[in-house]
Amino acid sequence: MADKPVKISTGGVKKGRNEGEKAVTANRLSDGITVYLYDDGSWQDALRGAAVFEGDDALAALEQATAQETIVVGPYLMDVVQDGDTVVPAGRALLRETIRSAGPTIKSNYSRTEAL
Amino acid sequence: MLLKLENETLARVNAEAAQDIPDFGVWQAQEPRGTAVRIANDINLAAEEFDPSGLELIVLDFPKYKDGRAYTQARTLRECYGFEGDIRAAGDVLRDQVLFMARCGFTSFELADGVLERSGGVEGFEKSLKDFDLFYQPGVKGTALWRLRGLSGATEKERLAAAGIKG
Amino acid sequence: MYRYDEFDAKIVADRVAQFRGQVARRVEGDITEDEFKPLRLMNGVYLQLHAYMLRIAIPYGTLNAAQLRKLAFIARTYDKNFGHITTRQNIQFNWPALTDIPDILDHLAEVEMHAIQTSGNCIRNVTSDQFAGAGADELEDPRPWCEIIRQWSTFHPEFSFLPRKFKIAVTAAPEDRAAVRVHDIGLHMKKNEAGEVGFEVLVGGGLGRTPYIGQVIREFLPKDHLLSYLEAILRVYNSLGRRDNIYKARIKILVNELGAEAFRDMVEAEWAVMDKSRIDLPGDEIERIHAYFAAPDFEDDLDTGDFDSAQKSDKGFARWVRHNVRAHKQPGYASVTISLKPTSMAPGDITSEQMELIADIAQTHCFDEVRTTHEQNLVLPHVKKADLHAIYKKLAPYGLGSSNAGLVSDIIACPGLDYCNLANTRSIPLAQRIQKRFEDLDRQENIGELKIKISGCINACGHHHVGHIGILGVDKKGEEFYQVTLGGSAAEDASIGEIVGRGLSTDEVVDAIENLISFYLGERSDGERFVDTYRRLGPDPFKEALYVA
Repeated sequence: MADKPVKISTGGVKKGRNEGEKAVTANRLSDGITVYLYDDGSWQDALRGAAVFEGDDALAALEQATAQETIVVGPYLMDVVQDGDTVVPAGRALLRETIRSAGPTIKSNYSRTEAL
Repeated sequence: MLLKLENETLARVNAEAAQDIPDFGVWQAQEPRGTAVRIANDINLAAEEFDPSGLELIVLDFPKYKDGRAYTQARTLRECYGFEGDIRAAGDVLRDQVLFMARCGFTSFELADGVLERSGGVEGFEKSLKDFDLFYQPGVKGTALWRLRGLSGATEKERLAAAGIKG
Repeated sequence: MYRYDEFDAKIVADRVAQFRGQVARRVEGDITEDEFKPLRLMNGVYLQLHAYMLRIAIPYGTLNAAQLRKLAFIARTYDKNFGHITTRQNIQFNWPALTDIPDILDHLAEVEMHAIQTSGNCIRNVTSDQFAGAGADELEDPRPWCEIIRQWSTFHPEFSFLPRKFKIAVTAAPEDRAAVRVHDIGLHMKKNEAGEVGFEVLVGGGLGRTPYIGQVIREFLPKDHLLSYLEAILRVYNSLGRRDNIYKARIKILVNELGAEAFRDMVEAEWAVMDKSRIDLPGDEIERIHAYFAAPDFEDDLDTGDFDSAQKSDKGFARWVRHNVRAHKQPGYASVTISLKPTSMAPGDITSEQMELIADIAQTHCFDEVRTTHEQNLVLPHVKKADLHAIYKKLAPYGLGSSNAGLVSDIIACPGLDYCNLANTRSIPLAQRIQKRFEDLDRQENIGELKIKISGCINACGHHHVGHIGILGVDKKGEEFYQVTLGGSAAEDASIGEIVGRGLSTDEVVDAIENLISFYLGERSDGERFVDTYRRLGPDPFKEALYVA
């Protein structure tokens, strides 16, 4: 099951291989804000405390997220690494996911206070 | 599950499902030809020397609701072939497209399982049919706004009445 | 400008009510995201990287002060106090909540605005010449025809689920400021041998993955038949346009697969059998719409006041006049381009305070009219020359006095990876670095007209194919690289730029642009723009110059 292509962030969101540590991310339906799945099943807007999954656990988490259509839009798996207590983006889509979690790189007052 | 549009209202009716109606090739080979046919999106009627006389029902397909070819087919059947029978939308038929369909000449709507339930029932479909009562352009159904504007000297109330709106 | 009657107002109000219901059904779970997406797109609502984005229609780029003030209010109340002018003359907000959008649309309806068909596979906002009604070179004001197309295309029952999006532009001047040759349909108003004004009809232009210059399928279409002819084109496209591959679904692919002649024959055949009297507007309705676009009450024999003396005493003003002020058809008046490209801002961004200032100026000095441009700037179309210095002094403290219209720092850039869900690379930071490199105004002026256009992915929203210098961002294993194209143009000499050399890293790309410009400065003959020198010398010497250390 872990080898099956799955919705994954590789620059854009495409089918990719489910290898390594993953977080589940999406946009909140009501306001579109970028959110991450936490261990308690809630969706929060800071990546740093997101739940980290591997293999079949990641697929199961994504499947559960996909069923939550009235809460979030377009969930997918993103590559992450755990840096101490903090979860940070990793992999092929590093720049995209860094911008998603921290806000645009161009003007400080458009950035998200929760991250960075 | 079939809804039929008559006199501005929708009613549930029982009828043969679209999948049981002969497709264009089968219908053409019939001797004599039947009264109902299902026409796929990619059939160019102009190239087929199509003659709809004798037909009572033409089923047009929405493989996905985003695939809009059947709108042109329906309008062509009404406006170029003068077809006056029932034109049925089948496939991915949803409440939010039903007004566009009606304006292009569709008169019945075959819904997939569960669609009616999550669309607020027949009332939900009827509500969407009435989302707009003024139209900028002519359709098979619905007068173009410029024709109403052309009623020179008419009061606003008269013009709204001409558009079928209760002032 | 066009004003709503009670019918227009009711249609827009009904639209907001419809969308409010659709949002509620989506939140309740009665419609899936897949079903909702086209509905929200046709109301201008995208989901981007960080939030929803709402794109509001500015039909053919014409705005009044009340509308601009309402946009400022929306930016302040529902967004982060700024908006972004797009290459389709629209404005978009980057941070609204979905659940607020029906309220935002209600506010817009109060000032006769909407977000209808600013996205989706339908006929989009019709664009035009930002100097319409002001330029001395135009045959007539093209905007009444844009409004006629706007009304005809709004909720068109047959053409709301086309194979792909559909863009129409109209211009009436020989100098094409509306890029009609790179539109799905371009309408260029021209005179026939009998001296009547009609439309030259171009079809199948477009940028994106596969850029094409539009082809003429009708040399002269009488004005009265505009709508029936458009209907015939759209009907052929809706029936035959490809639906199996999103990248091959635009009309340009159909036209090029069939050949322009075969396509034209199909359109003409469709048009021949059509009951045109049902579709084409009668003369009195055409007149009714034209009446809204009557020229303002220009004054005759105007004094130019301090216009000449101020240019001697205020060097900044003189420079602004040289680049941002354009001749007007009415003596004593001029048109002003307000640059939204100051160094270090996102090209096309405008704050609420800036919108309100411009609204005040438009009301006081410009017959209550403002235009947006496809180059992401604003225009005050009709101002007295005598007022120009005062206007400049009001604009400059708000960061709106940049004297760079048409120069190297007047860059078109898509939002790129800072906002966009489709982008591969960032565009705005690169635009800002190029602006910084060429910050010196004397240097910019010496370089002359140079159109740099930057897209953050192959979808080409930044129009890189038609930049004198085009820059396309590409992702190479997670790193940003930039591919340079040269020699493109979106104007009457429309051409698609040629790719020169390999992709450049973020570190290399600004130096490479500077190398190209230095080479041009060394080679140009009198009066040649960058693109002229490129066309004379061809790509090879420029290719070599790209990598000079």
